[in-house]
Amino acid sequence: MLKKILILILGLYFLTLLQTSFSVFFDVRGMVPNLVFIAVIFFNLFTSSRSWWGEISAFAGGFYLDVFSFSITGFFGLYTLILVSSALFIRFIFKRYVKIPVIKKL
Amino acid sequence: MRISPKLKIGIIVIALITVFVFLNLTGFSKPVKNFFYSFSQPIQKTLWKTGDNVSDFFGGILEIKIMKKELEAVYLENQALRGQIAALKELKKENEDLRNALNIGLEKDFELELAQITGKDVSQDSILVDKGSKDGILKGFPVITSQKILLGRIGEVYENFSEVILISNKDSSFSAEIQDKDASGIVKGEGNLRLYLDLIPKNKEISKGEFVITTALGGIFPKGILVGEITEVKKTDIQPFQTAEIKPSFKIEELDSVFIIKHFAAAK
Repeated sequence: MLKKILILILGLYFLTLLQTSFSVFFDVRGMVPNLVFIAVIFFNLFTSSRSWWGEISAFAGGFYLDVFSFSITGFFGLYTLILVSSALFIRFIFKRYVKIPVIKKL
Repeated sequence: MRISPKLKIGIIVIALITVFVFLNLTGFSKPVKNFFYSFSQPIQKTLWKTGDNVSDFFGGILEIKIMKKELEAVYLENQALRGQIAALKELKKENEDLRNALNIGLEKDFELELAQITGKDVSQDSILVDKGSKDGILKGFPVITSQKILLGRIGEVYENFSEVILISNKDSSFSAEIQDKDASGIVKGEGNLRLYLDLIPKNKEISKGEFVITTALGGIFPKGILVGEITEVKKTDIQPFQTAEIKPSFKIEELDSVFIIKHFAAAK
């Protein structure tokens, strides 16, 4: 379990570096997809609401975005709070109102 | 005692908010960021170079026809510039002779610090460079390219790294003038690497293709640094001033290193 969490955290770290140093060369009219956001939403949509994968990915992804991005407000932690809140909200909605297939092996 | 899920969530959110408020108030977020930047620098440099090479490769394939036409135009421009260089060399020699005769010392233009780009935030029009407070970098220092083209100025400074706020950032504004014309205005960033020159007096005739350079007004940037080229002029009867869209002269994809100006002589 710990090994899987470490792989998730490292994966999000490399995704952040890829976003800030590689994919900037492939922007479309100055816009680059936020790969970390996409990954976090993916984890929250397709993993079981009983597990903590969504929340862990939101915390790690948000933390890396706070470190490697230049926040508009200057508040360190803004992206983390946004992603964690989004993760909790998605979990809340999916637990009560939506049923979709999840990745069971995680 | 069993804690309900809602309470668990509430505790998590409150704990997170407390931690981040603490980090922001104590300024501990800076060493944290600095640690991650130092640790990630080799990887970011490699990714930056790889991204540059890959985009050049695909860009070359997609734009062969356009590049051919541009090459022909550049060749002709090069020939014309060679002629101008010859004439300017004569003027330079004359200038040096006069300075020597009048005993005027040639002051160094700027005190520069070379820095490598390690990352970029597309959404914020800013980049990260590998020089920080331990290299004597302070907030507000101007940043230029090796071709003496204006890039921006230093925003946040960490121990080993600094953020450079590009001139196209929405918070950026500074005084500039149109080269060889008595017309000045304020350059403002629009985001997405776009800028415009505002508050140009309506009675001044300006046209596409003219160059915009910095003035010494406000002391933000040194005088005479190239900003960009006018691509469109907007003038209406109801507005008291005219505006001009500017294409910045720097190309962020081709930049690998920049110069931070630590000191420049103010205009007399």
